[in-house]
Amino acid sequence: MKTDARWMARRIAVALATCGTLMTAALPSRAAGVDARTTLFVTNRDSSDVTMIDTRSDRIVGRIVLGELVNPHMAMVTPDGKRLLVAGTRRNQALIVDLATLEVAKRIPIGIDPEHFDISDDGRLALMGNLEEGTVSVLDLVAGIEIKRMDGFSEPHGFAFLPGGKKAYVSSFGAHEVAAVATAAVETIAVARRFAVGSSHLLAGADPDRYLTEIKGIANPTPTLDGRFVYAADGDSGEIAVIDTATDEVVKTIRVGEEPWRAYPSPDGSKMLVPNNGDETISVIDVAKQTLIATLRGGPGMTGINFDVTGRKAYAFSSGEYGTVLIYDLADLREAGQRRLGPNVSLETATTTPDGGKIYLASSTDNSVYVIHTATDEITRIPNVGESPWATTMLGTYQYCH
Amino acid sequence: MIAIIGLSAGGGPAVADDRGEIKELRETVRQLQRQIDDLREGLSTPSEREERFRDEVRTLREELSELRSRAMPVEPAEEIKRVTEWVCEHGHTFSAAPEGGRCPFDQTPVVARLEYRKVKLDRRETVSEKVEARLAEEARRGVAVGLSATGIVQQTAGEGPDRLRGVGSVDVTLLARPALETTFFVDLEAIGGDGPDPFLGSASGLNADAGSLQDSDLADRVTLREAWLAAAFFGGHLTAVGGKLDLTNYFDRNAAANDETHQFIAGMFVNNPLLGQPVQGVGHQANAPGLHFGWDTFREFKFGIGAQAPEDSGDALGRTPFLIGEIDYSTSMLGGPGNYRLWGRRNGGDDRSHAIGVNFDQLVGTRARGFGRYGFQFRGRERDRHAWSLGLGVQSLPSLRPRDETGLAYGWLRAANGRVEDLAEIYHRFYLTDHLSLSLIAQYAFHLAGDEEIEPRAGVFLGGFRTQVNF
Repeated sequence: MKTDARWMARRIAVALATCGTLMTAALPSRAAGVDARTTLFVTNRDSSDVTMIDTRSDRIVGRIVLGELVNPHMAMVTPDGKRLLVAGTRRNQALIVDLATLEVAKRIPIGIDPEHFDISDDGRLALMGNLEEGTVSVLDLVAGIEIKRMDGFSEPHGFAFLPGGKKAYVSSFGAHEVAAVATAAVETIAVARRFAVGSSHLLAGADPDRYLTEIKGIANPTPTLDGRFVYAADGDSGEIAVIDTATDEVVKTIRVGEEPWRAYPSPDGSKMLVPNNGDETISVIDVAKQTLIATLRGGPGMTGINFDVTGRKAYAFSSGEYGTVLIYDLADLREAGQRRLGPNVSLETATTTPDGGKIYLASSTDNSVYVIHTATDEITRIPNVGESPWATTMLGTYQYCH
Repeated sequence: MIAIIGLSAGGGPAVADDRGEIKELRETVRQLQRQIDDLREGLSTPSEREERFRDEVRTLREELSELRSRAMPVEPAEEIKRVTEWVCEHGHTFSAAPEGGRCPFDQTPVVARLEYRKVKLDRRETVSEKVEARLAEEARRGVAVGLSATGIVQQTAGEGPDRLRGVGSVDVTLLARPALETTFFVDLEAIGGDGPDPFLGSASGLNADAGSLQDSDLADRVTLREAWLAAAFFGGHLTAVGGKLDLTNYFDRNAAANDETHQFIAGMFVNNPLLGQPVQGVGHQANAPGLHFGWDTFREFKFGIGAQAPEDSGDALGRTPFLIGEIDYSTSMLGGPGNYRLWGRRNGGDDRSHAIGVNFDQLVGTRARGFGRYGFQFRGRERDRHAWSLGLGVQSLPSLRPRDETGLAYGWLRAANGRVEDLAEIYHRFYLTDHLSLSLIAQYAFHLAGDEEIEPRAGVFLGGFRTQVNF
């Protein structure tokens, strides 16, 4: 799983936390085909399409056909709201959907098994990871071409551009490593540095078999909202490396729980929340102090964390025997309840609307999207969204996938 | 051109000149003919190359087509989906709600319901992914077997007898899920060795993992330590557990001091000595039949009540049981999470003592977790007893061995015979692999309360180590 952070969207989301009504003015105008400001896009892995849901009425308003056996994984709306970039995993393609015509405008052949990516905040570049090939495709979204393919990664899983788009970070899930990629000039895009994360090498010395069967490396490099640091959680060692983006050095290592997945920044930027699927806890890190300040009870198989607009409440999604939404009070750092969605409900990724009023949560095993109303924590369901809904995306929201 | 040359050859007087000219012309013609032949040959060669090129393209297209066909999933993925369907009174089913909420055939009301359906999916799924998914499914449905073995060696020094003692215990656990949110658990245990307690006379137990289950002929016996069924209700808020169970799994728990196989081994750092759980069955590790009900608010508070027969015998079910209740409060203070507990219990059987206790563990900073316990026993034959303990568990520095742990604790107890017992313990656990750890343990008993046969002692030092294997 990985998270892709779009910085323009993030800044907008942060701005909304303090002055929500400015959102409408700040975002691009409505495209002819669909209003990207109020539409949720849901990739359906097994029906190879994208379902559009009007977030004002919570009704399905259309589908975008991507083509046979595309098996889309992640999708993101470009910052201008005019295109949708989709990773077509099975067809080894990056697809650019024109949101005016709601048709695939470009099919870019790339490496094997593309899943996750991030888009620069000017909307020009995207880094997309070809998971099975161990390469990263650099995409020019304006020309609709792959301009470069970087190798040397092991299951490139997480991507994050820094503000300004001059640098990006790529994490490998098949290694305990994060790479900094210089993206200032298209001609010279290349890996600038690589960072070793965690101390799993110490464990490997005594128990190499553990790493010969499976590696749980870095799912995602998560920048702080100001872009000064990147938090990279290593699943095997249970440690988080804090990378200073100015000096490109690991400046701190924070021990969290067992098998941490990745870090999620709170909307005010003060905290990072890390779900640990090994010991089923959630670590809360104070970003200013770079220290662990709380360990909260979590659940099995946590796939994501979203927040309400104030950042006072956090919602974690757990897929154990029951698909469950775990609710936390971040002001008091305590549990604030949970909601069960049903047995064998496999929860995937979620999107908080720009105004923070709703969270849309994809559920692959019952072909549904659950809507969490953050004011009341009530949950409604939109059934028959498509086959295996996986990723959700909206313009002007924090973006992640797994 | 050849025809013109032929006419010229039949000419008049300048025959010699003409012949020479004709000769030159013929030579020129031959050269031209050769050039034409060369040109023709030149023209024909690219044509063959082109043909070969076309053949290659054709072959490549065929290979590509074959590769594409192979890349298609030969066997589509299968998945059970939880779908919504709308069903009329007479069984007509629809995948979307009919207009007006009525069946279009007989106008009966339509009800939405959840159903499970197997679907075939053209999903990219490798063979290894399919195998992995199937194994995970089998593991989920099957019985999970766990194995844990602990070995402890302790040597006494200073005041008291100089003896080396070893203790070994093996636990085999079985866990199955017979129904949704229902767990069936069995723990079979064998222990060899009584540790130093029998000759040192400790009231609280210097080694909580000791307590031989061997017969007098030293034959190993295996005891059924736990066998219970647990189920959750009301969205997981209520948990009920019934069977032969260890109530210390639910009461007086502590994140820093609650497990003799990984943390401190002295009994007073595993549970409060005044918790008074009935242990009168076969072997002192045996547990009696009992019940536990827990209510989890999924917020700061949890509540639990438990009852247990006074001894490990079905004959004792009708006697006054051991009763216990606890309130758990979780919060974040002092820069980290903490858990605070208040419990009260009443013992059954012949001992009608009552006791209350508090217990906390609190993360201090990023690596240290403090803990403490206090208990007070009142009423019954052994009233006015107190016990308390304080300690610290510290995670090692990441630059050294990040998963190692160090613990330091001191505890105090007024024993049943009225004497004081107090001791300190320090351990360092080396985390070697996920399945193996080694601990160095040192204990210093300032006072040991003794018992009817053994005189109280002071200033006893015990050093030792512990190995722990866990699968």
